[in-house]
Amino acid sequence: MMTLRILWGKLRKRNKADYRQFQFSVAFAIMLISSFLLLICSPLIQGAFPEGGDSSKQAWLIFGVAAVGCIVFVLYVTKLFLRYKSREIGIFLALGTEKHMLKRSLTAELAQMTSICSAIGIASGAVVAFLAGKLVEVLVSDVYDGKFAYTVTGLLFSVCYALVLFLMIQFQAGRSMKRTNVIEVINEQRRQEPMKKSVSKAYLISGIVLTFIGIFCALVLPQIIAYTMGLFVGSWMNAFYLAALFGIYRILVYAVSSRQRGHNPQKYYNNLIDYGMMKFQGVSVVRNMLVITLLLFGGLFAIAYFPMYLTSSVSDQGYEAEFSYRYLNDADEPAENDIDALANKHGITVADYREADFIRIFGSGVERDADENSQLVETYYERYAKYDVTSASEFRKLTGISLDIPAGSYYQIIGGTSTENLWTKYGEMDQLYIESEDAYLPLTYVDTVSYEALNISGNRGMGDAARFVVSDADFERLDAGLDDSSRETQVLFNTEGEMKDKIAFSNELFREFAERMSPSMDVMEFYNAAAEEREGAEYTETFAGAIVDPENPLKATDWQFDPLMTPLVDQQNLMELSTRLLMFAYIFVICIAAVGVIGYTRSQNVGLTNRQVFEDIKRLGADLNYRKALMRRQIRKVFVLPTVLGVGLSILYEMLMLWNNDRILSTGEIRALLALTAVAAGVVVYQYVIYRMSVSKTERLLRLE
Amino acid sequence: MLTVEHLYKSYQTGKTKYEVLKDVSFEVEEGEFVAVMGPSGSGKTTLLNCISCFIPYDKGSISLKDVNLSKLNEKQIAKVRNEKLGFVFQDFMLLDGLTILENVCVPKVIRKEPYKQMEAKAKKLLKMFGISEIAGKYPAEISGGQKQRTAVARALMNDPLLILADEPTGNLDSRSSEAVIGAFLEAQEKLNATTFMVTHDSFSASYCDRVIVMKDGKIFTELVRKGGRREFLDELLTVLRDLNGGE
Repeated sequence: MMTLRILWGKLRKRNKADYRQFQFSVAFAIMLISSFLLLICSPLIQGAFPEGGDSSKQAWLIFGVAAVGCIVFVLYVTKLFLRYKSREIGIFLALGTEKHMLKRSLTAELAQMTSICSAIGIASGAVVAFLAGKLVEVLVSDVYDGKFAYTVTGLLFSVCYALVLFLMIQFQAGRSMKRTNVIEVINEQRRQEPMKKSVSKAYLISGIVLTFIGIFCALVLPQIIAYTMGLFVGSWMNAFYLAALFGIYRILVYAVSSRQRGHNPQKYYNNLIDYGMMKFQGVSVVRNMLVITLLLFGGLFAIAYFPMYLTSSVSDQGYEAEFSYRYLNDADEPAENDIDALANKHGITVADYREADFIRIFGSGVERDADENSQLVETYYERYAKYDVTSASEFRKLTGISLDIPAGSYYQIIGGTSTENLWTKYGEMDQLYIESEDAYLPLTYVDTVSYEALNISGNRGMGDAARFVVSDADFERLDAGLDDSSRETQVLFNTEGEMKDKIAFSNELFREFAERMSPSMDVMEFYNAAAEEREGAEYTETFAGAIVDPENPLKATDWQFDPLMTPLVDQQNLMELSTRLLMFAYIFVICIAAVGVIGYTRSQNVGLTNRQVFEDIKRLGADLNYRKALMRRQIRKVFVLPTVLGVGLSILYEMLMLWNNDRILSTGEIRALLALTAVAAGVVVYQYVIYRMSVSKTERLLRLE
Repeated sequence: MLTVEHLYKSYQTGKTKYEVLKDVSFEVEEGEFVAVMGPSGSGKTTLLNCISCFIPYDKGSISLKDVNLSKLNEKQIAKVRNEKLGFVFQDFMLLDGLTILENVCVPKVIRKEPYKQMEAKAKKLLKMFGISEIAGKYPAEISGGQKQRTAVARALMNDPLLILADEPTGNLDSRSSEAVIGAFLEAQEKLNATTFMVTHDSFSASYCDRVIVMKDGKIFTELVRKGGRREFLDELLTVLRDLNGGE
């Protein structure tokens, strides 16, 4: 017996390609997301990203972007599938089939397909997660023992995501069945979306100008204003990105709908049929082109993290000692022999241990802030901050660097990459408080001295976190009468042994160090005792109480005495790098995959919508080559301009951003840009491959082979 | 002008072969307006599609001014369609995204001809068929009769040897039909155009110089107009009645 279900099944066999496209897209989206979820929920990543840490938050944030991206992508594919089905549905409706029966058949069919695709997607996602997990294991094997394993949580999250997609597809199908105009349903596939008007060259020019002005005003102008006028315009300038978006839209609209005879009427007539074909699809074509442009931009922006990270991480190297920490002398912190014992316990040895005395005393400085009118305001305070100060001989003990410091002058200790900026300048301290004399010692700034391992205070050794070296005589005067809570010990040492043992040693030393801190050390990174004097109880409430977990040095820490332990830094960097790279790679893959699917399906739409036009012009004498060229020109519109805009703007944007940081492009940054350009070239090749596939598919659709 | 000799065409469905054209031969002279009539399934549209080179045929030959169309490759066929033949279809086949003037230009656009002559010719044809005032409109904005007159103008754009018209009045009311037939007559009178028209409509066919009547894939009879149109219409109606068994 011939039932609606049997008929539906026959139609499915007939339209295999449409079904395959839908099934592939749903399975692909679920594969991407479930692989991400299975990986991020595995002990490997969970162990590397302690709960509440920044890395963990960032990972989930990126996951959110990816998940939303995949939902949009599946919704788009579902819409296209429903357009394919609309003619069949419309004819069944016209022949008197009850709508609820059709709706049941459609939703049942989609439910079956989505369930199978979800199972395939999760299974293949598990394979991908396994491979990616093993890759991370290898990358971090030197610093971390974590192993990839599947978790119930990861699986449950994956199933939940598939369920969300399932419900959204069902909702979309249900909504599409709500329409009552049968003719509209039948013609849905050929629905025309005309552009409202033909646009002039001025429209294009305004688009280009808006795009550049938008990017310039949002990205570059605030920095220029800040540097030249000392005025902070605020984040509202980001609104200019909307102008850039509007500009891109205008460029695309012009590309699609410009059909002026202008100065070259012959060209106008040669392209007449192209214009005619595009006239009624303009809106959706422009929409697709805009989405492709933005996805390409987003994908390249994400992948740009690779080269940027690799070049920026260079600056994190070069500590003169593996371990560097300071503590106030009222704390019962481990001494050198304790450190040695701890090192022995972990099978490593301590080398080149040295420690030196610092004092913490009030001194003058300049505070910079933006006032309510966003104007830069500079205020000089006699007691601006409580600084770390050491003597020339103590400094030599630590660093081996001899400084010739006349009495009444000082050096400022900075890091290898520290630079003056709008907020902080060198040498602004001109007096230090002598507690025993209740008087200020006037001091003259000599120069900076660079020692990265001593650059462990907040603000990169600048402003209220600066550390100074004074002459031995001045140091003696300043030190007189201070109690242990104002005396500080700075420790530097190296270790020899296996990296994993060094990490175990660091973890235990960190726990000891944090647990044994004194109450006066229990403050946040940017705590400033002088500011507390000025601002009172409210300030104390804000900055008192360090955020530190002795058991977990990788967890987000906000502590002024946070020690530098390079094995942990390397471990964290490597784990963050591996996982971040993986996550950004996911975003890139999702964006690029969505670009491919949208371009490919749009091309088929060009074929479907214009099938009759191609047939008509064939009858009017257009040969195969003419029709093929016409079809290719139509498809090229979807690929060429969005690729040029997406790729070009992303490289320009990265370049401006890098230049904007310090108003120069360093060799490393130029290398990073070249690497990004190479990736962009890969994207262009990918787009070309998708274009060729689209052309060949559309040729088959239009029988232009 | 057009010579069709011993034309055979059949369709194979499974093991069954359906012969649609059986040994059809006739000629159309330059400047002649010829109609083909006959009941559904008599083979008239198949005949037109064979002449248009839209479908291949089994046997026989079709020559257009001594050029045998069966010997041409795809590129040459396209050239013949574009330069030697003009088409008018029942459903107009105008491109929705182009204005009426632009639609008329399409055959020359495909040939990438200089635009000045193209525009001048299109305007002349629009004027000839009384549709100049709708030159800037789109197909969706004009009537069926105007659309078909646009199609006739388009068919004449490349000065074809032969206009092939497939039920050109099939979708039109009587007044619009008359206007379209008027356009063909005008083309015949002013441009000495040759038209070969498939139609069901005896009224339209009565304007022709000659009517070929087909039945079961063969030419049943040929009627040549000698006197006035009304007498020719009566003659046609009589033949068609006989063709249907006197009903």
